[in-house]
Amino acid sequence: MNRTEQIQETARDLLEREKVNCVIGYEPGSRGHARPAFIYKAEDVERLTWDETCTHNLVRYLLKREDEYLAIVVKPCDARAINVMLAENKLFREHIYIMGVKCEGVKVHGNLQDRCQRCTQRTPVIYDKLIDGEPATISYDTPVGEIAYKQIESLSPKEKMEFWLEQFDQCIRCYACRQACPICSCPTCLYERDDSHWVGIGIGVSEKRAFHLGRAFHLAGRCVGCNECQRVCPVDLPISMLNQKIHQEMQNLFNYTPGLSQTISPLTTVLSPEEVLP
Amino acid sequence: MKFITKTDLSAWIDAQITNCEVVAPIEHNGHYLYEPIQSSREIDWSFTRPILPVKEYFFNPTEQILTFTKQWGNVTIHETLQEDQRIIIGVRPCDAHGLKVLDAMFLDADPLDPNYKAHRDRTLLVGFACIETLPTCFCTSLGEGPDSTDGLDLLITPINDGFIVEPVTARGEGLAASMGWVDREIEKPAPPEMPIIPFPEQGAWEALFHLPIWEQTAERCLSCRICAYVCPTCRCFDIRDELIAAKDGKQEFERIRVWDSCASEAYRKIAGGHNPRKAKAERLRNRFYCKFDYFPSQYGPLACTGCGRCIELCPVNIDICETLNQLAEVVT
Ligand code: SF4
Ligand code: SF4
Ligand code: SF4
Ligand code: SF4
Repeated sequence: MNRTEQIQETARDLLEREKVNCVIGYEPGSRGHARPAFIYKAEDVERLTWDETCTHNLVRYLLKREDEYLAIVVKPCDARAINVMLAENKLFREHIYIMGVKCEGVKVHGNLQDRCQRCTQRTPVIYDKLIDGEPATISYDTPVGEIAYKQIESLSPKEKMEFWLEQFDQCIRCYACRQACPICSCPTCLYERDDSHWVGIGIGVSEKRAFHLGRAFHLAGRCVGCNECQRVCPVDLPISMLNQKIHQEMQNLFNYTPGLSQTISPLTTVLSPEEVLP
Repeated sequence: MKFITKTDLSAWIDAQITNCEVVAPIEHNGHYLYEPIQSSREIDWSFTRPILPVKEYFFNPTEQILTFTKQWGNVTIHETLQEDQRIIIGVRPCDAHGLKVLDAMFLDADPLDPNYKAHRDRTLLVGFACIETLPTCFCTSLGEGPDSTDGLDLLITPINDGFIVEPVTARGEGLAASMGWVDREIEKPAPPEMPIIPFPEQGAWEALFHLPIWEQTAERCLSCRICAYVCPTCRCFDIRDELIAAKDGKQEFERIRVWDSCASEAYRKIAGGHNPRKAKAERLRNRFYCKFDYFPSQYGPLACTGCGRCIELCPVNIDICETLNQLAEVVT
């Protein structure tokens, strides 16, 4: 059975036995690129698909649905996000059924994604059912993103600041990066501009700088490197480089990779019961 | 027909740059944006539809409407309207169409919007006909086309060895007068063709309000703001007074108007916390109704130009053509 058939069969079984009320997976989109699909009935499982365009991190769709029983299709990078959310008590393990896909990388417009060029996993770290396939062993030249990253690293602090301010200037503050992120799960984002007391409402460089740098720090030790933020950005800003930089630092300091197990980031402060306001 | 070579057109653009601000499509991170240029060499002549429409130059992402100072209870207000002339080169016909849609609300309906009007008055629009289309383009379905002159001051059509120049307005005639064109017997190339997308007539929308399609389509929506921000006709805004500086009992504020989007969760939230469009499906439905029912019944034109940007840039493939097709099927 190919991976699409395995996903469909698992989904049919789960829905028929009423183990879950919805299966979150992928279906063919209208323009040749897969898209998220929500399947509630066994007779609809044939809509589900798996191919190299299944780029989205669907873990985002598990959030705020804690009361439901959901099945989800995940790639190895997505699976790490589940671990982070479980560790932070934002998901219940017994409420989700994980179909982990063995993955050889996903593509946008025919280009293998940067995260996939870096990925060493191929098999999800957490799953209830392994969707087996034979991930081709692909060898890569140095990933394009790696070259760009090194280039930024080699700049002086002043040049770095200039580079990033120029990038932030192009940002339209659409929040797509935050909305697509499986880890940005705060009930009210500190940088939300509607009703905000913390950031201005303007679509100006200073507001955008606060948002991007703040978001990168909030994701320290939590970002799983799925690069969804960068994929969805309408103006193609290389924002995941900020997360990558912090990830490097985390590696150096704590040798910590987020999502490999259900652990809280060494940088996350956990208040003891007596520290919590009543 | 008026014909101009690339060298002469570039020279004309460089001459304009010495007089006023010139905005043109340039490449950035692998796509195009309209940006102020210092030299015609920055222009990428093979540009396709830029990511953001020229809307951003008339209805700014952040517009300072006025500033005011407050000292010991005295308030002084300064209006901030811009007047310097500016030329935008390379406007796509769908974007010019988008400005006509915005005009219907900001200029033709009461009250007139002084900031928008100031930007309209101070800006000359030099259009570029599309000789190729993108897979997401469907402007012909909305009444204009890749070679439309509507809303432009002057249209430029690229041909083999140069460009055809066609003034549209008196202001465009003025621009053409200083261009080094020659008269030449040339046929204008036929505009490229594209699929026709059916959509329900204005009166048919009421019956579509409770269809399950809204919920089904919106379930994957991320409630980001891409579709509204990249749309040449989306024009919702929010207004806030923000403190700029405070010293010796004197406070200086600015009143800013910024883009807003009906897709965002708090868009419709009102005092007391009630949100009449809490569900994603209600918000997505509003987007369609605004474009094809509410706006045309209030202001006249349909609020979509078929530019295809929202289709190309939505991260989860919410495709206006697909949805319109589905709706049209229900109606017939
Ligand atoms: S940017 Fe920070 S505050 Fe906002 S959602 Fe992400 S983690 Fe939360
Ligand atoms: S997705 Fe891109 S444009 Fe939108 S807020 Fe994030 S960085 Fe800015
Ligand atoms: S195609 Fe989309 S972005 Fe373009 S005018 Fe229509 S609604 Fe707006
Ligand atoms: S761009 Fe797509 S995901 Fe974002 S708000 Fe619009 S429809 Fe929803």
